[in-house]
Amino acid sequence: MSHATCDVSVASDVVLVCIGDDDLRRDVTAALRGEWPVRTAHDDHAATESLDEAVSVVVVDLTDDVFDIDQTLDRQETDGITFETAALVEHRGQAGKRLDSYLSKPVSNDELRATVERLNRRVRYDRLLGRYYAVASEYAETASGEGHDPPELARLQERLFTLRKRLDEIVDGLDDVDAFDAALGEYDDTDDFSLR
Amino acid sequence: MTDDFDLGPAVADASNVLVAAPGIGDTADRLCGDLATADGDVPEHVVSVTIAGSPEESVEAWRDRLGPGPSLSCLTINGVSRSAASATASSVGPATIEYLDSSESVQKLGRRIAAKLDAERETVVCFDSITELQECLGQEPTFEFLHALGSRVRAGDATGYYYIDRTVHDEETMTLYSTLFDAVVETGSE
Repeated sequence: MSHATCDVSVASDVVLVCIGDDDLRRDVTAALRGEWPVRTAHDDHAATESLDEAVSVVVVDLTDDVFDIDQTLDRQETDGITFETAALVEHRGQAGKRLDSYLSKPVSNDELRATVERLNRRVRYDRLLGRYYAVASEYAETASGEGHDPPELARLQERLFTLRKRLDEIVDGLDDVDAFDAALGEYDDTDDFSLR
Repeated sequence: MTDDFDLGPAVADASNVLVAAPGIGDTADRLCGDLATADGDVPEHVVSVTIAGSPEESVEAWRDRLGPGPSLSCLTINGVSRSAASATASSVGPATIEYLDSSESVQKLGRRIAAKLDAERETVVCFDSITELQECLGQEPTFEFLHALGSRVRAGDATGYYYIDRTVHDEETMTLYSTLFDAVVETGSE
């Protein structure tokens, strides 16, 4: 049984800005830096190096051919990293289905920040809900085990109380679509209800 | 048969209540109906969600329990044999039954339920059942879905009753799900 202390904050909520154009990358970074820690990448190699579990949102410019976004997205499965993606596109028609949000260029700072805030909240909810499930599972195992450990149960109950309060605060800021999509983040949206 | 509930303040003030009892059939609707009216009031709007049960029987159970007054929306997962009706809604008396095709995602089920919540009316959601949803999705996705749904119910000032057949699950699983709810009501004998 793990006794590791879990903080209710999740990772570092880093935004990774993947933009080849120097001026645009600087502008986007300046718009976001006041609210989130920002990393920048000017090419695929730098993006790959910078993408780790601390990253919650990737902002990527799809209007040039610098970044292989499929390779970046594959990291979600190969490395188990949870992050959301916002793509800068010339027009909405360029939008595909794999990314989480699309922003038509030129994008205002307000729109950019609102999008990152929304995606960041989705990631925080997904990650914290996964942690809540883990602690709830540990609590259920301990509570139903033969050797009851009251101090441990009390510790886990307190932990659940704190996590749930934080979870509720986060999910209350999501609309219906985002709440269910983020909650079921690792569950394929195409899976169906067929009774097994 | 109607169980007599002496609801303590923890249950009466709860937004989301786990209802643990043995059995299937109309058990969930009957228990949810009893709980929803335990304080003597009748809700103005009922959202009944059934994963594998009969929506017609659900509507009948609610009408028997509450009379013609409340508006009643029933959302059900359609089997393959009725998938062609997935996009349509039909009416049984003053109730509305909507079918969600079984090929649709669980995310869509959540959105459809949330869309039926009405903060302007006293609304009750009866979810039948956690047991069947877990059978479809597995435990962790079911747990995650229930948290998201519970947040919508709470934000919509509604009350949600979530039925679980406690003869199917071990104590550990029951305890796990109980951590999601404001209160737990256990009733009935096996």
